[in-house]
Amino acid sequence: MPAINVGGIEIEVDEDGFIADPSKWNEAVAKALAETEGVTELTEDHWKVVNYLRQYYQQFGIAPMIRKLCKETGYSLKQIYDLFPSGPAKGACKIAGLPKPTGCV
Amino acid sequence: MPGDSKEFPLCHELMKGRSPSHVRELSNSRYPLAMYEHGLATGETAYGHGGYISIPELPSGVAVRNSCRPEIIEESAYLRILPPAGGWLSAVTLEKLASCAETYGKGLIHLTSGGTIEIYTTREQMVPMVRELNAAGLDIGSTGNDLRCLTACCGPARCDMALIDAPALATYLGQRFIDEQQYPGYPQKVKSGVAGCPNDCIRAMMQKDHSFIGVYRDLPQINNEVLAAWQEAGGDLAGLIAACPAGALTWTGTTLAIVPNKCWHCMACINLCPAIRPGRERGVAWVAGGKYGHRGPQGPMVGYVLVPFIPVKDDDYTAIGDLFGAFLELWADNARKKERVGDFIARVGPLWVLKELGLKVEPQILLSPKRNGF
Repeated sequence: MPAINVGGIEIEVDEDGFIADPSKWNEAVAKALAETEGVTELTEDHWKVVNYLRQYYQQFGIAPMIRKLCKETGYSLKQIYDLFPSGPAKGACKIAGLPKPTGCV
Repeated sequence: MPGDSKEFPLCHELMKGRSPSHVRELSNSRYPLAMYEHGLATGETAYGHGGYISIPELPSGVAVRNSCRPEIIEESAYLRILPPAGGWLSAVTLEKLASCAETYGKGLIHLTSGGTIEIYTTREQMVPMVRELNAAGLDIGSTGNDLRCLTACCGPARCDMALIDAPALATYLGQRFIDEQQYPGYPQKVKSGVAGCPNDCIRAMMQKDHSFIGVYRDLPQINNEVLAAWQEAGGDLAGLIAACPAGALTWTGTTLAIVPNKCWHCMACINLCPAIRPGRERGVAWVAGGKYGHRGPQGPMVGYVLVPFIPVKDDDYTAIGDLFGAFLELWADNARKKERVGDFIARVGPLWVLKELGLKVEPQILLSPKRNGF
């Protein structure tokens, strides 16, 4: 299984680059995952989306529907794509350390 | 022509004759003919299921078909280009599309049944091609769970039947809802079409989740002088009267008249006789829920006439756009995952939709939508 290196620790990821074990996620891992998706700096706006995704995932065990993500964070889908060029699923969910979503996000 | 008739014998069979041949087009491009030959030989396509691919900067308008014969072609990725409404493409635009297809693709363009323009390419070539298309005033979109391209008939740009300016309305909606066409955020795809008159040459009511149909609310206008000339030239009056599906045409012996409460405001008599022209009070009927698709509990269905007449004055389409946007929000908030508009309306009921949107409920549009909505 491929892996990314975060401060000398190997974090395993799946073939699409999603974290294999969500419990190993931390902010440093988020930054390393962000770089794989072309996000060089995680701003306050990025963290707002990432934190919402994590909170929802911890509560419900799945990623939220895309419209819910937009409504709850207050960002339009266009803004989400501006923040995460790979989109809410491949970009935002990956950086937030969620497993690869199968649903609508 | 790549390959000889021994290499692709079945493809070559389809190139014979004087009628245009799709294989001739494929073989004049860099399309891998071996894939098609494989399909013809085995009775099963060499392409597999496809779908969404993630290309940074391009949220929508990019997709792929997988290959079952990776030794011939690994995959077939493509860009979907939003078409100008009404199917109008200048030679200059066609040349630009051709140049993009040559430079970045396989020298092949696909005009899809849904109205879009597809160019087959590779994932790496997509962003540079989109930059070039953007510079030429074109853009991509219309894939996945988003608002698909707004199609329209040719409208008054070259049709004498057009009751409303269909391409103008489609362009207005396209501009207003461009983000919805380029950022997939809905539970399912939504297709839309605008037809200039109830003839609905683009089959919007049957095919599109949303159709806006040009209609007239008053009666067809009869010019008895033109009618006399038409009869003299061999016009079949009895055939004309019989052609009215509502039996609303009557002949008094000297003039032709329409029984007002019988007329369905269709186009049957207008299509047949140049002496009968559409009424002057014109607007748009909003029909929602049509689809050809067999997925979903309802299967293929004709749309519901939700609003039989939205007046259109001075080319102001704001009210139609407001209604369209309000419905899309209502549907997206309440639809189940992958639920098309028709299945959604059938599940919640058209009355619920009308009430939620604050619209007047007119019983006749649900009881006998084809008859007389006014």
